[in-house]
Amino acid sequence: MSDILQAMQIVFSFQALVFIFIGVAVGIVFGAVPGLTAVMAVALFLPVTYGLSPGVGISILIALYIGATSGGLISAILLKIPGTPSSVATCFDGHPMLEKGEGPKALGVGIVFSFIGTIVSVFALMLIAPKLAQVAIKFGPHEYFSIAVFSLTLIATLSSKSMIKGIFAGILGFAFGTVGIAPVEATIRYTFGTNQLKSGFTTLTVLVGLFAISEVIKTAEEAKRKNDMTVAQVSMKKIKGFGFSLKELKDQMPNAFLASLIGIAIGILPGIGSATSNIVAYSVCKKQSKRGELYGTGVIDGIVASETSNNAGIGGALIPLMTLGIPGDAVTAILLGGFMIHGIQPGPLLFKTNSVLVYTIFTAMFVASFAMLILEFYGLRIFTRLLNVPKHLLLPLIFVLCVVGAFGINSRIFDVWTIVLFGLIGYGFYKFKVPNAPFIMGFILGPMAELNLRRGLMLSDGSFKGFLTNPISGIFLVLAVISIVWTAYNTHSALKKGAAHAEVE
Amino acid sequence: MRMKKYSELIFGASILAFGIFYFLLTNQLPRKGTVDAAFVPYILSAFMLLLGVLQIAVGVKASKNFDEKNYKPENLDYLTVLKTIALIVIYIAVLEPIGFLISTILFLFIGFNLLAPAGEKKNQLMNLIIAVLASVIIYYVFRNGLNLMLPQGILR
Repeated sequence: MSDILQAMQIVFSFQALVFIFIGVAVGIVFGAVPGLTAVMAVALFLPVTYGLSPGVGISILIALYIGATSGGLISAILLKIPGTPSSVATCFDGHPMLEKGEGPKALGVGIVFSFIGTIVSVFALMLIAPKLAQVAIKFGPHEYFSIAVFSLTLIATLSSKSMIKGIFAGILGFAFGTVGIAPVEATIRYTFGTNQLKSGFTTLTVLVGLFAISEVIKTAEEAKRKNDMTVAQVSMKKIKGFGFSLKELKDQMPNAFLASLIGIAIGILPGIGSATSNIVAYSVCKKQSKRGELYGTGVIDGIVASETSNNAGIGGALIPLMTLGIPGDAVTAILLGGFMIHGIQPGPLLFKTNSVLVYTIFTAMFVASFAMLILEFYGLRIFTRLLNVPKHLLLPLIFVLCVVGAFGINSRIFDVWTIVLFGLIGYGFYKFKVPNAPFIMGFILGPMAELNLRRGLMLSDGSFKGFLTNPISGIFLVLAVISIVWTAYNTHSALKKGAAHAEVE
Repeated sequence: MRMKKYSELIFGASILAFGIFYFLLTNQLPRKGTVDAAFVPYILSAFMLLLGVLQIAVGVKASKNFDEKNYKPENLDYLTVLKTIALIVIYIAVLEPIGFLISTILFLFIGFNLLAPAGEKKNQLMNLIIAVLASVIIYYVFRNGLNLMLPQGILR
């Protein structure tokens, strides 16, 4: 109990509250401006947390995450361009509503249900994580190896368009993860004789390069072109409450519940997050709904489905991160980096040895959710104005902040060069239409799988049997095989369908 | 540019090239038994070589089926991309010798101009003010507030 009080003291201190509000506001901006993402927001703010206490530092990062996931709805409704991939499905009904003159209502619904989704997922996190941690504390290398392998196979399942490209991205990430000192016998690999590479590439530089620097280079492609983006202006002045009735709120509850469940479940699965869940939730809710045929014509149901699920993914993604140290998506991968910088190793032990921090995170999530509700609704005018900030000013500034962040990790220019290297890789990925999320998962989960493979083999005297006879490890390996077979089957039937389709044409 | 036609093929060749490169490097690692530091890298190399071959097959098919008549070349400004990358590389190279403040002011000012939309009136004074202000604020906030010592360079 005293741990909870201590956590409250940390979060409700003046400094922490100010930082959480700033975090949410900046997050909303990054979510709203197309081309800026949640990953960037969290990555850019990391250096700010270097000098703060772990509790406050991680609270800011989570505030940014919550703000940025929700902020995408603003541009999805007002610009018809999703601000982040998490809000793609919000466009489907958001823009038709705007055209019908119901823009404020669409925004109000989106904001309130983002809030509801976040809160539901925080409760799920609080309920599931401690229980899971109790089980996971008994996990050894066998279990960790199999969980990592299972998570890696999910990458292939989800790299929608070209399986070859998705798997390659994952393998390449894994290959970059093997740079440095190898586990167990400490062979030095792929350092080309340099000292700087001995500890391998830092996760943060990989993420910043892949997700932020590549974006800066990408903008250069179209920079010279005039942009004629028009931001629809809506007046929120005459709106009572949040722009929709209590009855509508009640009617949407089953819908929101379903979307939350989908968001949380997809959030828990490693490798996928809100970018997938908003679309899945939209189509599932559409199928379930009695008035499914109205989806896409400008009904609030569609916005509820999309916005509830993407924010519900936040609590979901934090479950594997906090209990196993496995990030569910790119943002939680940076959070993992944030934990490490403060010398904290997320995992089941966290709940035993550092329960104050665990409660701090939970409390900060609640505070950030309320901050998001208030700031996003009442600050909407300011955020819409920021949609017009010229990109040629914004991106060089973002680049400089990335440089500062990379330099701050170890105070060496070498890390700055690394972000450029990964920026170029990210740009190459974009040009060849290769997804970059699998790269990150491979980079983080790959070395984890290798380390635990080696350790597990040492425990079972070099025999691979241990990975199968250990029940939990065995189950995950079977799941991994199922996921591979299922993907192969799906791709096969999709190819057949595609071929049949081509013949008809 | 006929790049588009062969892009899938080029990508396949790149996978294969990297796979071979990684395999050769792995081959140089000292072996200490079946499962050692080279074990996992060998598996990764095998995967990359396989994926490279598969992607080349896809690429050959894609270039054969490429619809040249209906292809509209993308109007992308690769010159600006190259200039941006060059600017970034120069900036990082001079960051330590010249120092954060001066190099960042220059980087921002040139960057603003480089990425500005064509035909738009450029307010150079405004650009300069933003470049100087942003650099000074970042430098002092991180140095004094957040204890991050950015390179001082010649201003020491």
